[in-house]
Order: sequence, then C-alpha cells, then structure tokens
Amino acid sequence: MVPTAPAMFHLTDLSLSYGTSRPVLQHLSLTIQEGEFVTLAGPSGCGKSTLLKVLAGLLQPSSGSILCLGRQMSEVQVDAGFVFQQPALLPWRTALGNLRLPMELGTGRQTGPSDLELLQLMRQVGLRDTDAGKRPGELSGGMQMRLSLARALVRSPRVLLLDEPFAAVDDLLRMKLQEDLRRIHDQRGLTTILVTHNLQEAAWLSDRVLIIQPAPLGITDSIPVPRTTEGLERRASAEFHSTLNALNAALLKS
Amino acid sequence: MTTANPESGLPVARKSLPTDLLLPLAVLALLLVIWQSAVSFFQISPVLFPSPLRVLQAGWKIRWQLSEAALRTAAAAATGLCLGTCAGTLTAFAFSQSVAVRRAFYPYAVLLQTVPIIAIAPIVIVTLGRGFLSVTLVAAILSLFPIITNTTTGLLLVSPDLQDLFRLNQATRWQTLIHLRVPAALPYLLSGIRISSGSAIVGAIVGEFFVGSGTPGLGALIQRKSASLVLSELYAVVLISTLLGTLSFGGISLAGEFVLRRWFGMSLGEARR
Repeated sequence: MVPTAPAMFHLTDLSLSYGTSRPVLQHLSLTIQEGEFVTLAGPSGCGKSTLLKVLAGLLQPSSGSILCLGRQMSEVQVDAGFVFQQPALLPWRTALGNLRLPMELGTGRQTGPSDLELLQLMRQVGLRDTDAGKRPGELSGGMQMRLSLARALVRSPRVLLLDEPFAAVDDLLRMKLQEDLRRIHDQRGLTTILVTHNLQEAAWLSDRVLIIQPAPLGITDSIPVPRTTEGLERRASAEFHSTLNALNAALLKS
Repeated sequence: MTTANPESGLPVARKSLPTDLLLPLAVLALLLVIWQSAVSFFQISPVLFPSPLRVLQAGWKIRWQLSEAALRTAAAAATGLCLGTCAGTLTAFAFSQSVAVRRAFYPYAVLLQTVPIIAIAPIVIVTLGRGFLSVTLVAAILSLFPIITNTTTGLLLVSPDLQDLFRLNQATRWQTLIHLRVPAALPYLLSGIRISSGSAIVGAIVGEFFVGSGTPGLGALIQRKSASLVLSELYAVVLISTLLGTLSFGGISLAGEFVLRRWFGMSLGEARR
C-alpha cells in the first residue's frame, strides 16, 4: 500500500540477483520517510550495500517496485549524494577541484555553489581553507573522508547515502565524524541512509535501525531509536545502552 | 628508501639520485676494468676482441660519423615513438570503450609483439622505399604494443567507486573518459612510453640496417662496420646505440616523473599503486 504522504523511498517486494546466482535481495519491502536518519545494519553479505546502490539508482532490481517521493524510480533521477567506504577522490585534483567535480558532470548547464560557498562547506565538515589547494595525497585519511562527505553535499541533495564511511578510521576520529554527520543531518533536514557493521554507530546516529539478514530473510527488524538526550551525556545514558542491547538482540536472534 | 609525509604521516617512497646513478656506474667501471684486464692478460688480438681503450680510441676517431648517425637514429626513433604513442593511445581509447572492439582487435595488437621485427622491416622498406619514413614506421610499429596494453589497462583499471560516482552525477561517456579514465591512465601511458622508448631505438636501428647505405643512421653504420671487419669501430657504434637507448629511457622516465609530480603530486610508482 502506498502511503498518503509520499515517502522518500517506498520499496515493495524488491528482489535483486546477479546473473543466475542466488538473490542478494529477496521480496524486500520498506518505507523511509523524508528527513529520517535510517541505518542499515546486518552481517557481511546480507545485501546492505547492494540495497544502498539500488536506492542510489546505481543498480536495477530484478523485480519489485521503488517509489521515490511517490513516483516510480525509473521515471525520476534520485537527488542523492553518496559517500563510499573509501574516500574515492580524484588524486590529480585539489580538494577544491574535487568539490567542483559534480558541477562539471552531467548534461546541460550545471549551477552550483561558488568557490566561497565551497570553502564554507569545507569548514562545515571540519576542513580548513588552507586545505583547499591540497591534493588528496597531502591530506590525512580522516581529512579525505571529510572531503568526500563535503563532495556528497555539494549539489544540496535530498538524500545522503553512506556506505560504511567510517570503517577505516580510528575510534577518536570516527566519533568526531559521527558528530559532524549528525549535525549536518539535523541542520539540513537531509534524508540520510547509512550502512554500517557498527551497532554503536547505528544507535548513536540513527532515528531508526533496520536489521537486514541475508536473503531470503531480508529486513527482520525495524528498531526506532529514542533521542531524548544529545552529546556526550547520551553516550553514557541508559536509553542509549538499552537501544544498543535491543540492536544486539535483534541481530543475534536470526 | 622511505620517509613520512609531514601532513598525512603516510610513507612516501624517496629516490636517492646519487645512489641510483652511482651504483650502475660503479658496475660499469668494474666491467670495463675486467674487460681491459682480460684482453691485456690473455693478449687477445684486437681483430677478434678489442679492449675498451681501443674501442674508445676508435669511437673518437669516427666521432663525427657517430654523432651524425646517432642524431639521425634518435630523430627517427623519436618520430616513430610519437607516431606509436598517438596510434597506441587512440587504439587504447577504442579498446576501453567497447568490450566487443577489444575482443575483436586485441589478438591483432598482440601480433605486433609476436611477429619478428626483422620480418616486418623489409616488408615496410619494400612498400615505402629506402628512406626516413620507412625507418620511422618500423620504430613506430615496435613501440606500439607496450603503449596499447599499458594505456588500455590504465583506462580500464579505474576504481569502481569512482565509476559509480560519475554515474551518480550523470556523467556522459565523454566526461567519464576526459575527467576520469584519461587522467587515471596517464601514469600507465607514461610507463608504456618509457618501455617503448627503448623499442623505438631498436626499431629505428633495425630499419636503418635494412635500408643500408641509403641512410646515415646507426643501423646502416653497424652494417658497414660489420662488412669492413673493423671490430673496434663496430663496438663503438654498438656502444653508442646502447647509450642512446639508455639515455632515451632515462630521459623519458625523468620527464614522466616531472609530469606526474607537477600535475598529480605523485611519482610514477605511487600513481600506479
């Protein structure tokens, strides 16, 4: 049933297989509302990243339907920014050059932020103005990931899709990046969909966590995350630990 | 030798020029000493096996002839290498755009590598005549294959994430080629040109060898000196030919490193990693 207020994504009976192999996604149905922060969590090989690529329009499902804001996905171009597990930057371009890239691609005249606005965006994700002229090879891993996040935001997308973006960074940096991500989500009211193995990260960032198990099980749980407190206080709260326990239990029960 | 990048803390390969240059030169000096000592000790006739000193004396005697020949060969090889680079790069572009084209034509590209150049050279010379053009074409043919394979690899070996990024931004095929595949393939193209630079010199010399006295290149000089049995002069020509190949390889390596450092901020080795 299609909801009355158009959801950001409404998937019905979605399946996807690569060639003749067993399906990666099977009879999957879910709804993600606009402005929601949803995390897809589950074991390796359960199809989390595949689902994210389907939502980005990078993969075509074998069957089923996807509505994006009430319209068939095949009829619309998803207005999405994507952050990969690796920063995926062009090493021959400067940081600013990498940020300009999305505006240089596509057919027709692209309008986008000015260089001053791009510098402001860099500051929002924790980069300095002096980093603008540096090539990715001159930036640390964390700074590269921040730049990758900034690039995903350049076109002011309605959806931000993140595929385990903080998997390769250390714990301290991970926490800082998580803070930045949640702040950006709240400031922009972005629909944000994150793929992660890390349940702490899921409990910390999300409004809702979807537990995915390998096909044919699919989405086995949808766990809402209460957010009555924020900041460091929240990490120590009973509410946060209770959410974490619920996620652990949901993941282990299948 | 490695050092840490002060910004990222990542290890960066650092080359030490004196060591890179001095070690091979020391080996060369040692070989020359052994060669000279062996010829003197065993009293080998210079007609059979001239000593390095005798080769140097002979080289000095024909220095103008050698210089002219080396310049002519270098010009033919450089022109051939340019032709090979253009043709090889265009072929690689075609190979990277279509699997069908790649499957249909790649076996014929391999033929360029497997057919012996001493078989191709006479055919080219008979077809195009005994001149600079024929020599250039032989050099181009011999330099083509490494450029095709390296550039094709570079054009295809683009990170899947970056390809997805371009698709997400609705990049056209042309934009993907220009903004992603070509810059990503540049280190591979430069590596191909570096390998081909030596092949182009060999190609030019083989071409000149078959053209004969019609051209004053090193190949023709080798042919003349072989026929006249002045071994010390023949050795001098061979020495200059080798030196030309080494200089060409080294010069193109340095130019490649300069281009990558200037435009990419990385060395050839780092860029291909």
